[in-house]
Amino acid sequence: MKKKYTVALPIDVAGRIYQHGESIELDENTAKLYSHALIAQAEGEKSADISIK
Amino acid sequence: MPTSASSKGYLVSSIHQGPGDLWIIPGGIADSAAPQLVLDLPSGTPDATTYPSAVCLGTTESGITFTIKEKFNDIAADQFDAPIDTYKEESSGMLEAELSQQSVDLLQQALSTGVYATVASPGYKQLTFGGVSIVPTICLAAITPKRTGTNLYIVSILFKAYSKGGLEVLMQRKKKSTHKVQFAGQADITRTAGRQIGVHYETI
Repeated sequence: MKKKYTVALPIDVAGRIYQHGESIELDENTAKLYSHALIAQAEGEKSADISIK
Repeated sequence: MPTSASSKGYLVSSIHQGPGDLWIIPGGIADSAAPQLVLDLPSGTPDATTYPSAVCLGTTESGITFTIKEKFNDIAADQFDAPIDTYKEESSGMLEAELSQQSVDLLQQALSTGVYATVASPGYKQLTFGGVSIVPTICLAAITPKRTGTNLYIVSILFKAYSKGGLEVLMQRKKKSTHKVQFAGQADITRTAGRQIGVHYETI
């Protein structure tokens, strides 16, 4: 099952670069590989720093 | 006139000592009267349920430095030989450390405009750089256990910080590799004035 994340740090997933603040939908296994650079959107909603698209 | 002694306020438990850990809190901390972390007290780490994306920057080579600076300017008048007033020009907050764990995903926290990619097989983790100009900002916390009490901590937080120092990695035979990180606080203007850059607190 895919979940939505907000990108905290730039990542390249399957050849596309996602920048800070962008939204991305990833399956659980891929999200684990990039976990240091992602914010689960439910978590990010607490933040005043990062806008959720 | 009889006199009485004033308390000197000596309190040995207020003399602190490290070490501490540096944490990225990607979801940030909501603006409130007490903008503090929810801590898992036994471990002294951010609560994993509240902050599932929190990242520890790993072992440190030396201490973590939290710096708050204020720049003041005097208002002088030719008629007087000392300043007659002062105004504040700027405030700044900074968290710095020298880190020893250098997995590429941790290095990205220092080079935050670098682009991280990973492939499981054949395995690699890489950080490319150049061409990305959006500067990521992140909430950052230094958590240090108090030496004088169980489950008590000193916490320094920058609500909105960016990595300022870039990345310098030295490989040599005689010394293990380390890299310095420097995070500078920004004023988060969506937050209440007086609580826009950071917080330093101790639990009691």
